[in-house]
Amino acid sequence: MVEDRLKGLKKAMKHTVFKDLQFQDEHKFLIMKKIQQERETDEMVLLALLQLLTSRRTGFELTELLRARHIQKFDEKEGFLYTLLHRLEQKQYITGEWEEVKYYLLNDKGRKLLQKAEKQENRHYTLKALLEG
Amino acid sequence: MQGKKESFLKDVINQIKSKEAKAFIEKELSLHIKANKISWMKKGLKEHEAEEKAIKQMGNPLQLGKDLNKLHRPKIDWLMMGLLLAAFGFGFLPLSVIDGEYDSYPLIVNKIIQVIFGVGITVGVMLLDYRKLEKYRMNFYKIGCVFLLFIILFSNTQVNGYSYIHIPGLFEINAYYALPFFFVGWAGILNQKKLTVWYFLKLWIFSFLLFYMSNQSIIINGLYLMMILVMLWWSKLDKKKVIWILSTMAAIIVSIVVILLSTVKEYQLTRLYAFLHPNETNGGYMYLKIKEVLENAEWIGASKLFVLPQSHTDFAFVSIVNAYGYIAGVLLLVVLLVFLLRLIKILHLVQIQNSYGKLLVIGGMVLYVAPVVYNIGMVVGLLPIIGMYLPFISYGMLSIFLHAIGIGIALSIYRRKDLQNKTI
Repeated sequence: MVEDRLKGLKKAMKHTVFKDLQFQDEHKFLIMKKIQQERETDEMVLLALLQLLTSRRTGFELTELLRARHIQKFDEKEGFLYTLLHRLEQKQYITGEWEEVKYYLLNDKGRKLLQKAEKQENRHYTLKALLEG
Repeated sequence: MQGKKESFLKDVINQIKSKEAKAFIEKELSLHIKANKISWMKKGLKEHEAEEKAIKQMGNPLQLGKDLNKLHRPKIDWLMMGLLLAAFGFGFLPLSVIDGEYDSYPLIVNKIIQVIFGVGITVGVMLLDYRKLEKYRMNFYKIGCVFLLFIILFSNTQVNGYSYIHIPGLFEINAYYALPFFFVGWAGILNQKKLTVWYFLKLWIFSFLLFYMSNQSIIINGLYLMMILVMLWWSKLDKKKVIWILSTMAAIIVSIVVILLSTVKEYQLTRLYAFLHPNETNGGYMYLKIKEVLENAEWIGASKLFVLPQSHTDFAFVSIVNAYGYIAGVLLLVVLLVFLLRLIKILHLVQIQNSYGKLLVIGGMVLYVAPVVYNIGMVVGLLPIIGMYLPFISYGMLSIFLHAIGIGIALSIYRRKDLQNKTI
């Protein structure tokens, strides 16, 4: 009985409320992305970023390289990578240098942080402070 | 379509307050968009489509601007501000229990004026960009010299045998007003890599002669010398040069000390003897009195009140312990110590990125630490009593100007710690 009525509701909504809403590819894409983004923890992103920064990179190169690692945190908001980079620079884990374009590179303090973070067990503790700063 | 990128950048930049940050963020984001656009064009998109896509991929410009502003706005070191006010606050304690030779009401009013003056100077200096001071280094040096010259020419009062300019109804001027200018100037002079040994000695000897001719106390001379020596040691000057300079200075100072010792006044020897053997001479009175006060104080609250001379100036610490107990004294020491730790923290913040800022913090640290250590050292009986004040706490305008500028500069450095100083 109840199930029948629910079926009726679903049918009715299809013709009324959801009449104008079409589940387009774009929506599907965004939802998938959102799910994916939430699955990667911020710590993973930061760890990947620190690993990439063992070589000198520009912000744009980093977005490409992160994407190649299937990290989607900065997809459709690449600008926000720079807030993270600038924060790391302020906390003196990486050094930024301008030559035409700005390059970033892990320094000694950053390398120590990366080594610590790569030792799985206390990663959470090590990186937490950075993300909250 | 050209306008889209500009309007995106403008939306970001408008959220950001710091001028310097605006410039480099705009450039960095613009280059990112450009690189991304080229990459899309290579994949076959037309130019305007590529640009639109690249801009869209940056995300929400308003949110981005807000986040970046949070990172790059100038910051106020509230801890240091709080310490400054706490130290000034402690300075009122000896005034309210003063008795005998002074009336406490006008002293409190004066102290309020001193605090307002001190806080005003501190905040004013904090708002200045310390990096811009470096290029005026010679001007600051000259202002210091002019102050001393004024004292040489116009001094009209002597206190304890040392010269002051007394402006009736207003205040007194001595070399304490020259010190901060020398401080800012020397930090800049010592930050020049091409500074020669000869040029350094010329500047030092000239100022040294002015100090000598203006008849200033040995304390001011000592502070000046110590400040220069420590900044010199930490400067990026070649160590060979530093050694040359130091040995020449040592030779000069030793010969002066020899001359001074041969003309040493009897009262000075008496004073030194009193320090070494307080029980046997009249001069030992203060040492014994202070000892008595410190030994008989309560943990909280007043013990039997002693009348101490200079209880609100040089012996402010003793009179606070006497009237409010050991706990108050310990709290005061904690405030003074945290001050120092904070300066060390600021030194760490600045030393990688700005060598001028580093020298400023180091010089300011000497000017702060030397009086504190000496003052506390002498009241606990480790050092001979001289007219050494306790920064911020001792009553008096002269030292406030010096320390307000020192702390103001430390705050200015903290304020700009997150701004990029590398040119784009």
